[in-house]
Amino acid sequence: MLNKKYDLIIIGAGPGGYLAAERAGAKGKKVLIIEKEKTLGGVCLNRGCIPTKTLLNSAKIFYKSQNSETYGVTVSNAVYNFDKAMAWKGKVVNLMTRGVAYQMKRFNIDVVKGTAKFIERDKVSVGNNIYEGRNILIATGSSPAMPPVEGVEQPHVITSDDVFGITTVPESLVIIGGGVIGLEFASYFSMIGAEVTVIEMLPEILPNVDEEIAKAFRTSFTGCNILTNSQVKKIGKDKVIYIKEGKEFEIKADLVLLATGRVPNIKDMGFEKIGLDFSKKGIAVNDKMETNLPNVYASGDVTGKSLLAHSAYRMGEVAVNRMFEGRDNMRYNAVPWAIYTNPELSGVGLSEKEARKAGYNIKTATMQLRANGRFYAEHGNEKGFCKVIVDADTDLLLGVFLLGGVSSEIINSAAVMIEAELRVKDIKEIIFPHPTVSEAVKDTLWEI
Amino acid sequence: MATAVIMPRQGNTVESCLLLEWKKQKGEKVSEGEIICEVETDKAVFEIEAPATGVLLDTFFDEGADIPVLTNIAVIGKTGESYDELRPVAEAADEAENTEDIINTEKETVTKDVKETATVSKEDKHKRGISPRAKRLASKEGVDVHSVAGSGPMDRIIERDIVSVLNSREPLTPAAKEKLSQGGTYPSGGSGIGDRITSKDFATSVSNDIIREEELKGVRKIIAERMLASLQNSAQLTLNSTADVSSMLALRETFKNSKLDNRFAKVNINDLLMYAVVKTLPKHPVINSLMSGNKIQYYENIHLGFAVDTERGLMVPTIKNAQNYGVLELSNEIKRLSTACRENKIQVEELSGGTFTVTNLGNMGIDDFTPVLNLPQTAILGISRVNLKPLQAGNEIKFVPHIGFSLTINHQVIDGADGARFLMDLADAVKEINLLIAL
Repeated sequence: MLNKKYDLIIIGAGPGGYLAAERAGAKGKKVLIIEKEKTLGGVCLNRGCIPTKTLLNSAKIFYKSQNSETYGVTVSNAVYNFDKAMAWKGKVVNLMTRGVAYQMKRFNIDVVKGTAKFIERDKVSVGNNIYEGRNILIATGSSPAMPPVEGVEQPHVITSDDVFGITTVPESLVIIGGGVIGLEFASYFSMIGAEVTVIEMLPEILPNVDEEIAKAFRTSFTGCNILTNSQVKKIGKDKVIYIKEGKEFEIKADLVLLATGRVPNIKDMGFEKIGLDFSKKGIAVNDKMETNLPNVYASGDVTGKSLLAHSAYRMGEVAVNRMFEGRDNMRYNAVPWAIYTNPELSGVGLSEKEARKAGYNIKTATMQLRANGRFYAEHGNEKGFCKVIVDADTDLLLGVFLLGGVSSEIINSAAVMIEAELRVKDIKEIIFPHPTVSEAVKDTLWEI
Repeated sequence: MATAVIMPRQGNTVESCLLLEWKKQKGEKVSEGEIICEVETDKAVFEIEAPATGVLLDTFFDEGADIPVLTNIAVIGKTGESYDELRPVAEAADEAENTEDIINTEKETVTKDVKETATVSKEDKHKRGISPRAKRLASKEGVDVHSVAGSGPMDRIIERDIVSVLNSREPLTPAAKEKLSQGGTYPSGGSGIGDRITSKDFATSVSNDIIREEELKGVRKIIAERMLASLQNSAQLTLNSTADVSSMLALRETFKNSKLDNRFAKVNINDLLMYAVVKTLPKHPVINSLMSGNKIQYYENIHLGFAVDTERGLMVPTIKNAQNYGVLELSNEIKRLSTACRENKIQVEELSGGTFTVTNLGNMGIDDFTPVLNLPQTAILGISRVNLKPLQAGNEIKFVPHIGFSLTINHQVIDGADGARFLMDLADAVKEINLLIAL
C-alpha cells in the first residue's frame, strides 16, 4: 500500500483537471492527476468537443461540395465516406489525448488511472493506494442525462457517449432535446444524408440563447425537421411517439439520440463521507472555486455552472491561482459559447430577455450579415445575423450573438470587449480587418 | 448710492448664518421688501428682504456659505454703479491671499490658470488648491482629488501627486474610470482581468451602497455637535419608572366628551403630563437647575423645553414661565410652539433659555429610553408609552395602565435618590391629576 503526498491532487483529467495540472506543474508544484478512463482529456477530447467538430467539418465539406454552384463550383460524385471520416476523427482524438499525456510528463505530473475515492478531506484512495494532498481539485465532469421516457433502454437508443460507436449512417434519426448537443448532431447527420427530426419540449430551441436569434437559427436550419412544444411519450422499436398540442403523433426512427442535458458526476466517490456540500445540480462552489471544505476545490461540469470546456479550463486555473497565490476569481459574464452547426451560432453575455430581467435599461440592434462584404461573397443568401445588446445607461456592451458562417472564430473579440468593460464608444475606435465577417460586430454597434 | 444687504443678527447668541438659497440672482431687479435669500441659523430658517429697490448688483457669497452676522452679503443699486467699498473685507483678503500663493508657488502656471484656480478656491474654501495640470489628469483618469495628499507648496495637489496615485492603484477598465470620475469611491479590489477594477466593483464596494451624501449643516450640525458635547461633558444617568395613568386617561375622556366646555377637547395626555411636570418641579429645585462651570444655578421660574420632531430634525422650543399657565393655556402654548417649529416660523428666542426638558416618544411605541441631556440643563424627562401593569389588589391581580418615565440626570449635580424622589412625586401628581388641577 502506497502512501504519497502531493501539493495538489486532481480528480479527473478533462478540461477542468488537466489544464489545472499543467498550471500547477508550471509553478513547480507536486501534482497528481487521477483519471478513471484509458485516455486523458475527458469528454471534451474523447467524446465531445474535438470528435464532434472533426466529424462536423467532414460533413460541412461534403455539404459544400454539393451546394457550391452559386460560387461557380460544381462537383459530381461527391461521397461522404463514413468509415474514413470516423478514422480521421480517431486520428485527431488520438493526437490530442496524447498531447495531454505529453503535457503531464512535461510538467512532472503523476498520472494514476483508476477511480478515486475520498477517505478523508485530504486523502484519496485509488484501488489500494492512498494519496494525500494539501489541496484537492474535484473535476469529475458530467454524463448524459437519461430522460424518464419509456423505451430508453433499447439498443437503438443512444447518448452522445455511444454515438461515435455507430458504424453506418442511420436512415432516420430522432434526436430528443433541442440543445447544443442535439442540434450539432442534427446538423451533422442531416448533412451526411440521414433524415433527422429534433424533438424539443419547450416553445423554442436553445433556451439560453436570445429569442430573436434562436428563432432565426431554427428557421435557417433547413436540413432537418425541428419540432418544438413536443413531448416524447414513448420510444418504440422503430418509431418515436410524441405529443404536440394535446395530439399524439409518431415518427419513424432507426436510431434515437438522447440529448436532454447533462448531470454532474457526483456518485460513489465518498463526497458524503467528507461532508462536501453538493446536490444533484453539482458541487457548490464560490467564485474562487472553493467548496465548503478547506483546501477542497471543484472545477468544470461537476460544479453545474457553465457546462463548457473553456469555462472548465478557467475554473481550473482560478482554483490553482487561489491555492498557490491567493488571488483570482471566476467570472461568468463574458464566457463565449459556440454551436458548430451549419451555419454556426455563437454568443457571449446576456440575451435581450436576460438583460431586461436583470434590470438593465437596454438598447439593441440587429444587422443582417448579407450587408457584410466577405460574408456575402462566401455565403451568398445564407442566413446570417449579428445582434448586440447594450446598457443604455453606461454604454457598456452586455451581449453579442452571431449567426452564420464560422462565427465561432469571431465571438471571442466580443468576449474581450465585455470582459475589458469597453464602452461602445471605445469599441468604435478599434480597427477591424477588412474584409472580414468580424466587422459586423462593430457595424452593428454603429446601428445602436 | 448702492445699498448693502446685511446678514442680520438673529438673536444674541447667533454669530453666523448659513446661506441656503439665493431667491434673486445677480442682475435681477428687486423691490424693497422682496425676499432675496434664505438663511439658516442653528435653530431656524429666515428670509432676508431687500432693503431697497433696484438691481441686485452683486452677491458676495455662494449658497452653502457660513457668513458672520452683520456682514454685507449683497448689494442693490443702479446698473453700473460702483460698490467696491461695500464688499465684505474678509472675502477680499482671502482671495488676494490665494492668488498670491499660486503665483509664488507654481512658476510654470500662466495667468489664465491663476484665474481658474482662484475660482476653485472661492467656490469651495474647504478644498485645498490643485494645479490645473493635476486637475486635468485627475479628471481624465478618474482620480478622486479629495483623497489625494498634496505635495506642492501649502499642500497643493500637483501633477506628480496624481501620477503617484495612478502608479500605485490597480488598472481600471474604461467603464470603471468613468464611474470613478462620476464620484464613485475607489473600490478595495478588482474582480476583472488581472485584478483590474471593473464598474461592477463599484457596485459591490460597501461605500458605494451610499445613495446620498449630505453635509452636516444647519439644525443637523447643531444637533450633532450638542449631542456629542452633552455625552462628553456630563455624567448622565437614566432612571426608569412608571406612573398610574388611569385617572389621567379618564380625565382626557371627560375633556373630549365634555358638553360644558369644548375648549378642553384638544387637551391631550401629553399636555396633562407637562402640567404635572410643571407642578412637580418646584418641590425639586435641583431638577430645574443649570450647571455653569463650577456653579449650579437654581431657577425661580420654570422654563419648560420640549422636543419636537420636524423635517429638519429635532427642535426644542421653550415655554417660558410655564408655572403661570393653566392646563388649557399650557396645552395651547405647546401646540402653538410645535406648529411654529414644524412650519419653520419659530423665533430664535423661543428656542433657548430652557431650564428643564421633556421628550415624549410614547406615541411611537417606545417602552423606555435614555434621553440625552440638553446642556447646561441637569435633567431631562423621557416619556414612553402606556402599558398595562399587573398590580396585586387583595387576592386579585388587576391590570392598570401605566406610563413610562425615563429621567436622565447629570450625576455631577443630581444624585440618584434626588432623581428618584422627583419621579415618585411626579407619579403621584399623575395619579392624582384631578386634584392637581383643582389645587
